[in-house]
Amino acid sequence: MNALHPAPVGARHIIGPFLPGVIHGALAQAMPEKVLAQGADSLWNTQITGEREDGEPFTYVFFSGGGMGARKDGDGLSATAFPSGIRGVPAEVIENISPVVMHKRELRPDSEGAGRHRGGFGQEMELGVRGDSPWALSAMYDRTRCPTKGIQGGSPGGAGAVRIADGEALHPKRQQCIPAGERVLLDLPGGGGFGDESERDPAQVVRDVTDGLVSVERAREVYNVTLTRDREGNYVVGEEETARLRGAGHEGQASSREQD
Amino acid sequence: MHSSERYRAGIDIGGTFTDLVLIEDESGERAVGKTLTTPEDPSGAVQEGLVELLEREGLEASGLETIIHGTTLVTNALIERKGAATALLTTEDFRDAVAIGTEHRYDMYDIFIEKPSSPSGSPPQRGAS
Repeated sequence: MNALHPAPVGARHIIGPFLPGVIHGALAQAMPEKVLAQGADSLWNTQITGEREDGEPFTYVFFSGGGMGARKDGDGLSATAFPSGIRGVPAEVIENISPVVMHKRELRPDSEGAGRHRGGFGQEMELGVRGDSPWALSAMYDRTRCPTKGIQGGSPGGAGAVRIADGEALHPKRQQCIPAGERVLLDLPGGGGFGDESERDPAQVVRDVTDGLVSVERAREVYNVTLTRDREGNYVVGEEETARLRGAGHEGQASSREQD
Repeated sequence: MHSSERYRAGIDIGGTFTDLVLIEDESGERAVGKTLTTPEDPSGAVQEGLVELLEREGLEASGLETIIHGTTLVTNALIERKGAATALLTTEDFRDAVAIGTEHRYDMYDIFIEKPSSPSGSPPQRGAS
């Protein structure tokens, strides 16, 4: 944060952006309604070095954001950097000016920190490089081991992950050689939740499931909302079962508090 | 306006009013008209307003060389999320291209901003893959 010469420094996009989240976390103890739950914070900067198909060397870097933290009055923003004010680069632009190919880029399902208001979803990307040469990925990613925290009883978001398409884990902060033709998968972290997830409006859970962003299983296990489909195939809340699950949850909490 | 000259019409079909301008190129002389937009068929107000304006100026429609029109109706429909049900078709594995956008916060220092919903659904609904 305050390195003095000649201390070696690097990747300031990782360290610096953690600071506002720490301050928000401190303020949350006194004024939770005025702060955000933790978000991905540090940027996910992808730097790729390799050879173009004509043998010319290239290097390309693009910035991406995970999910933002939730707040008292609403969900966290998905795939939006905070506190940094970056702009992401569309796949079409990346592919036009570099040999990098984006094979997938969508919001990352089930990565949101659950809560009365949920954190923003992270992103999932699958990328490679055109041509027959190996390439180097300079990974500079964080929140792979320490996921975002929720506040006021909200849950942590999904931790980040970096791996080769076949499943082999890559180091989140190291330059690594990727074999020709291989693809890399990036899972960007989700934001932390705000408030108890069993208090989330079931209609909002239905919306996230309909959007394909929260699984039916997660809706039931985490949010205590059971979903069924109506005649037209739309998801609807299983009112009785949901009331039972949520009622049981609250009674359980009440009795555990009494025991304390 | 002199009826012997050639002239052009510019028409703006707004959400409430349809505004018309006639311009006579040689002299630069201008005349304006205004009528209520007819949302059920926007061409109604255009025709009505133009006929009215030509009559008022004592001009023949045959002297019109060019009619240019623009409309905010489409923009309004997008902003108000009105109109026909729409769907956004994307390349597989890029369903959230619009939702992700440029990942940008439009106000750097307001931590509570809301992003607008997608025009293809409010909120954007991802179809099953």
